[in-house]
Amino acid sequence: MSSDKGGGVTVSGLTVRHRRTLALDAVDLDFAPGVHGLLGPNGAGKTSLIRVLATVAAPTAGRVSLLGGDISNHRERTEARRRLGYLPQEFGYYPGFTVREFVAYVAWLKEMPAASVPGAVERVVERVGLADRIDAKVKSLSGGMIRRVGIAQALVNDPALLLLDEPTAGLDPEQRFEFRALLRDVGTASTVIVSTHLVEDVATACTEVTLLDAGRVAYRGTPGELSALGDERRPGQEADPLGDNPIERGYTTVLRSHRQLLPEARR
Amino acid sequence: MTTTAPGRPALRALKAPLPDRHSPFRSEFLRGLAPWTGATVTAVLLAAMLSKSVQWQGSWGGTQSLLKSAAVLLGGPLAVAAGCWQGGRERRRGTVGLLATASRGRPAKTLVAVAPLTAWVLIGYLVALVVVLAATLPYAHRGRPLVSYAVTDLTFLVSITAVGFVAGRLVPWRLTAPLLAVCAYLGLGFPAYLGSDLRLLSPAEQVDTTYVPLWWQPLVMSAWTGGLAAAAFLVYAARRRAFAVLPLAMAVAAGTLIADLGPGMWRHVPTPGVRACGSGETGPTVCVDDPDRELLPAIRAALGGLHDRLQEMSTPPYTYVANNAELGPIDVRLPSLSRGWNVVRDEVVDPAAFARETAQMLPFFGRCSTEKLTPAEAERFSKLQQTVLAWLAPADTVLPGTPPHGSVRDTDLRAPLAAMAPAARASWLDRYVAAARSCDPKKMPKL
Repeated sequence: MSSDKGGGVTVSGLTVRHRRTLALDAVDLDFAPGVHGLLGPNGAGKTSLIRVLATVAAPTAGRVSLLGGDISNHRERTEARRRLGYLPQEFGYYPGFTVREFVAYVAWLKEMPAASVPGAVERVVERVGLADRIDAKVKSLSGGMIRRVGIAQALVNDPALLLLDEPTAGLDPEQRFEFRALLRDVGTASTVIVSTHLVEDVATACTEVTLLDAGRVAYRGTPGELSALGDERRPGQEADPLGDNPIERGYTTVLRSHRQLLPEARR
Repeated sequence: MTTTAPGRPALRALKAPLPDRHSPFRSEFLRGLAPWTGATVTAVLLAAMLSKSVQWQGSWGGTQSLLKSAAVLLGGPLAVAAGCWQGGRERRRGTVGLLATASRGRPAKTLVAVAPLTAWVLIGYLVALVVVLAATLPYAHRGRPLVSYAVTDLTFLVSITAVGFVAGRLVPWRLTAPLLAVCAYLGLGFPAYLGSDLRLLSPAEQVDTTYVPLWWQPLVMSAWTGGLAAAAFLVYAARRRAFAVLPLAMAVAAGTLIADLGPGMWRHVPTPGVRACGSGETGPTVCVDDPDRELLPAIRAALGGLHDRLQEMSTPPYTYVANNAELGPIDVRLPSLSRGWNVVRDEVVDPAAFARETAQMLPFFGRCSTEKLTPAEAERFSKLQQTVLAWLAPADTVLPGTPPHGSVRDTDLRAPLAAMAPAARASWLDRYVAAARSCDPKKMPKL
């Protein structure tokens, strides 16, 4: 993999409000190169955070710096967009396009130099395991393959910041295994932020984990540290109500303690 | 260095590299809605033209005029609906987020999404244009096809596609496209019912086909439709929306000019003074405007029976003259040669009716005012005239008159004359002509 592409993500006082719902509440975060897992229950604010980082949605308040540029500045936002890759939770595509055409279209949207597009498209399609279907229409692919097209389009510009919202949904176990390897590879030089419900994705692929709950940061640490919080199984219990494996139990432990503290913090 | 192998140009062209498969324009051009829209535009325009082919196939003006109406009133709603559907694609496909995170500017993204569709609409129109012009070519002998019609049609179709696209981007409702098509049809057709020159603001409106646009008319019309579309496009796509004021001002200026000058933007094309005549040992002598010379055989054939019957009489050999030419003492005016009505594809549609209409123009008919006659004399005059007409130019029609049944057949009317011996009939007809010329009821021969 290439060397460090520089720059990370810094978020300070980030607030996102959808009508009367507070999705993110003055969040402060920073992400350095590596693979970062975003965990949290439904409605925790994971997708809101990813959408703001992808510059799709504007924050209600706060400051966001991507790859060294302030996204409230048009020029710096455009520069950051050239260097980021984004896979939305609901990945949309043009069904009549071939895989090659669709990925090339995104490369054009990312303002990649025209001469480098054909090679980049073929490389990234091979990387996600779709080389033999590169000239097939997207509508002819299975759900898992379409998800891989989504991953390919997010990677085509070799992004310095890769934002993935539920990327493994629809992938079979073997594909998930390969995808995690891909994430680890990309994360050696880029900042990768993965929003997921699957704790095993975090355990095996991420260097750092951020747990969001009710629009706030409930926990930050490594997957190992999170697992350690749930490592101790209570004696005499066959099945622990907090989860089947250490990281699940750690996740539940953190959430419960955060929920106990939350009312005090908001007071 | 590499060298090119010698070979035939066709082979070399076949081996030439394909257009870049990674170009977004190519992808948009080949996939999705755009090619289907082009094919539909062609099919709709040709179906509309085919259903009225007798009206236009013989006149460049008629052809282009009808194609313009079809392009605006049918192609326009189709293009605006297609543009709108394409504009709403990102919402339907869930690619709004993906496009929002792209660094490429909105003008470029918009152009790449709408330009291929527009190109297909234009291709659809141009294919239809080529087909109808080719169909007209064998039968049109006057004038030539005008580029100005095509220019205004093409600008209009580009404009309305772009307006539809912007509407589709802005209005998140699936029924916007069909509703917009209906509104476009009504909005473009309604001005035809306006009495004022404001009707000419609709690209569907035009003046008589004997007029042609002045050279700058298509430019003004294009500024009107294109200016409105460009303003809409810039309001949506440009970072500085104030730029939209420029095309909007251009459109307003052009619209004001169109409303002010009205038909003054067209000029009348005078009928050429040169005549072409057809005659022979048998059959009548017929003269028409030179561009209509292809009609001479058909007209002479249609008038053959009338000519033969007139030869039985002692009337002079008439010359049948078309349109606005001045008449000499032995000239008879032909019915107006109207392509699409009594003349289609260089043929007279109903030779018997054409001959009957021509016979009515013979100089001994319709000379007398019935006001000077008693009712009985007027009725007798009328009945004899119908009888003579039915003999000279039988049309197998049912004519009003003759109680108690209220109508009489052409064949019944001419029966008495048909029953006469040729010499007696000629004598009778000569006496009738003399009486008709003098308007003297007492001289009318009995039948």
